[in-house]
Order: sequence, then structure tokens, then C-alpha cells
Amino acid sequence: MLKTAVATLFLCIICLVISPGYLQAETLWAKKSGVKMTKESSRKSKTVTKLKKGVAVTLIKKSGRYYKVKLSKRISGWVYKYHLTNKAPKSRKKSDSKRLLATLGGGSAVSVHESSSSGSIRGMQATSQKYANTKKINKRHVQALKAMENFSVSDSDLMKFQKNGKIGEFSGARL
Amino acid sequence: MRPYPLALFIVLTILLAVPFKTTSAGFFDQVIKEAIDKEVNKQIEKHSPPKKEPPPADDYEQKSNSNNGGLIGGLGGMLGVSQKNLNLVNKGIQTLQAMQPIDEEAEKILGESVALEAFSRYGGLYNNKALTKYVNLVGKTVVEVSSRPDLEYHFAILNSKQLNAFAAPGGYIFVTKGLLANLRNEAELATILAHEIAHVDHKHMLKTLQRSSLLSNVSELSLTVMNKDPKMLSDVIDKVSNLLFTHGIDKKLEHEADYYGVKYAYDAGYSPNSIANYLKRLKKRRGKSKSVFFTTHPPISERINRVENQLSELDDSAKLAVLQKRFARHMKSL
Repeated sequence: MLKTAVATLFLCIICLVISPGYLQAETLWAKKSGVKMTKESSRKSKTVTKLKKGVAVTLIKKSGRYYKVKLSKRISGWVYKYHLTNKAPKSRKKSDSKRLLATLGGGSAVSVHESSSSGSIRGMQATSQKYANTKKINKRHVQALKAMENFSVSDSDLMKFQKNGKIGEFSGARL
Repeated sequence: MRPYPLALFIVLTILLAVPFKTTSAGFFDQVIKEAIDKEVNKQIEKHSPPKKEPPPADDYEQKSNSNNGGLIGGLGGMLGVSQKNLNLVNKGIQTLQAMQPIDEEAEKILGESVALEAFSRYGGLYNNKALTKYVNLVGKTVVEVSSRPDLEYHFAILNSKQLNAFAAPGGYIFVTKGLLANLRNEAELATILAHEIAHVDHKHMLKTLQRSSLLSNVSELSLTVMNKDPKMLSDVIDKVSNLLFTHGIDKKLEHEADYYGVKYAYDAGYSPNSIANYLKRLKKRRGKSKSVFFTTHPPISERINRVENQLSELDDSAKLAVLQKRFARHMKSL
């Protein structure tokens, strides 16, 4: 009896140590649209699917710069870890949701902001504009700040740039 | 297996799993993560200056408030409370004081206002779309691997011949035309941008502000507070500008930015070895250049030593991207 109990306890510990931990699955979200999910943990591997920004996946395994994730019961694969975030996307404002519902003709609408960047506070703030007026900052510099804030690079440009330079997702750095 | 051991097996597995708090990444990952965290802390400690130098960055706010425990100390002494316990109480109070929050909206306004000052003091925006796009692409590649990738970062070139780069809160990063002209490859640019991104990521300027007497009368620096008290906002911007453009922040925070700068550049696939070469070139220029860079940053020799120590542990860093030709091609328009 005691032997059986000890053996069972030992078996439990072994199972826990080697298990990937199905007990409390971690959810991650795609940081941008077009995030590639590949069959193997390599950028050269066959693409399983592409994730849209804000799509949730479940973490299965970590390996270097790649995470193995599950999208649904049938779809799983490897994703470059820096293309995923553990922060849940913010839901749209009510008015946006209503508009979306009207377009779709019903259904629940929890989505994410669609843009090239994930920042939530956009454009020059009224308080900063007031500061510029009070300090009599040259209009040229106010325009410069606006230009700086409005300047954006597309995800596809960034990917091409990284691919061309073998950096980012395309780098061979050991992580 | 008979029913009894099977039931015992299931119950024990669940009971054992709770204290492990196992995630989907498994127990090994938990152990590995803890080991990595330990290693990062060890590395920062290892590359820290001798004891007489400022305290480690994490303790920075707490040490800066070390004089605030006078009353507690006095009462504690009278009541016979041990010094060790008093220190613990003081530490708790100082931590609470240091936690004065600055929300993301306020951070952005601070960043925008400081950015306006940067344009005013450094010759305005250098208007070159192709080059700005290039700097943004390099910067955003680094941002991807940083610890606040969800923050919207902006990169701009300042029309100044001085050699410098700045980071304003909220993700506003600047490099001067003069600095770009003195770099030799994309990896150098990436590591410099990574250093600036690390300042924003680790909220160095905000931490410095949080311990400032300027914020002693507010419980939180928010948009409401800023709009209610424009004088305080103006004083805060003056303080940040003064630190950024003239005196510099605590040298310990600069060393932390160097550490994470090298790490982010490496994680993004750039060879961080280039930064040591750049710092060596900069050392030779000392005395010849009027840049405030030399007064706002720690001694270059010390930075070189720390960076070289860190690089010696990244054995594959020399194999990573340097991108000299691509950099030279873009700099033709400078």
C-alpha cells in the first residue's frame, strides 16, 4: 500500500516536471496583421496561416525566438515570439462597435484598433498645443512634431527591410 | 492501474500543480525564466561601477528618499525598535513615495512638450523623408524586441551638427544629423537607438521626475492635474529639458540604458560589437567636440569597459548584421 502511494507520488512529480503544463494555458495575441504561423520553428518553414492583429492564440511551447501556439483545435504552428504580446487588445469604443454591428448586421463586436501601430493615444494633445502657445514655440517646430507623429512605416515595408538585412524575424541571433 | 492509485494519481497531480503555478510553457520554462531573470540582474550588478558610485537603478528612487525616515527613526529609537526593522519600515514608505504614478497620457504630453523643446534647441526637423524612413525602420526593428512594444514610438532627425541622440518620455526619439554623419554602419545606429529606447522602456526620466520635489504636491501626474496647473507643467518640462539637454540623468540609469541597448540590438539581430567601436571613436573626439554628450553621459572609458564585458558573453554577436553598405547608401542623401 505504502509502496503504491510512494510510486504514485513519484510518478506525479515526474509527470509535472516533464509536462508542458496544460493546466493553465497562457493566451497571447498577434501584435500586428499578417503574423506568419509556420509548420516548423524556422522562417523558411511552410506557412500554416497568417494571423490578423489582435487574434488570440494559446501558448504550447517556447523554443528560442519562436513560440509554438495553437489557434484552434486543428490549427497550431510556430510564431516569431516578438510578434506576440501577452497584453489583451483594447476593445473598440462603443460607437465603433455600433457602426461595426450595423455593417455586419448583428453579432458581438469586440475587436482591436486597426492601424500600423498599436499606440492608443494618437495625435498632438491639446495640452501640448497650449504649452507651445504659452512658450511661443515657433510654428515650424509645432509642425515638425506633428510630422514626426504622423510619420509611419507599413508592416510590409518593415518586413521587407528586415528580410533584406537579415534582422528581426529573419536574424540568426541565438536567443 | 487499479481505480484507487489512479484516483490518487490525479488528485496528487492537481495538488502538486497548484504551488508550481505551472503555465502552458511548463515547469522547465518557469525554472528557465527565473534563471534568466536572475542572470539579467546579475549582469547589471556585474557591470555596475564600484560601491562608491550611485546605487543600482532599481534602488535609485528608494535611496534618493533616504532622508525621509527621520520621524520614524526618532520614534523607533525612543521605543527601542531595532535599526533593521526601522530600515524595513523606511524602505516601505520610500517605495510608496516613489510610486507616485505618471499615466501614459501624461507621459505623452511630457514627451510632446520636450520634443518641441528639442526641435527649438537643435535646429528644427531635418526634412529628409527617405532618411527619416530609414531611421524609423531601424528604430521600429529594435522596438519590436523591447519591453514596451505597444507604445507608439516616433523617430526624427534634428538639423544639428552636434553629435547627440535623445529620448523624450512617451517614445519620442531624436538623432542629430551630426551623429548620423559620424556613424559607420546600421548596427551602430541600431544600438544607439536601442540605448534611447531603453531610456523610455525603463521610464528613466519619469523615475527621475517622480523623486523630484516638483511633484510633491500631487498624488498623480495626470492630464487633469496638468490642465489645472499649467505652471507646474511648465516647471516639469523645464526640469526634463534641463536634465536632457544640459545636465543628464543619473549615470546609473545611463549604464542601465547601455546594458539594455546592447541587449535589444542583439535580440533584433544586429551585431552590438559596433557600439564599442563607436564609443572608442567618440573617446578620441573628446575635447574636439562641443557636444553636451560628454557632460550628460558617464565617462566613456567606463562605458566601453562595461559594454565589452557584456559583449564577451554574447559569443555569436560578431556573426550578426552590421549592414555597412546599406547604411552608406542611405547616408548619401545626408
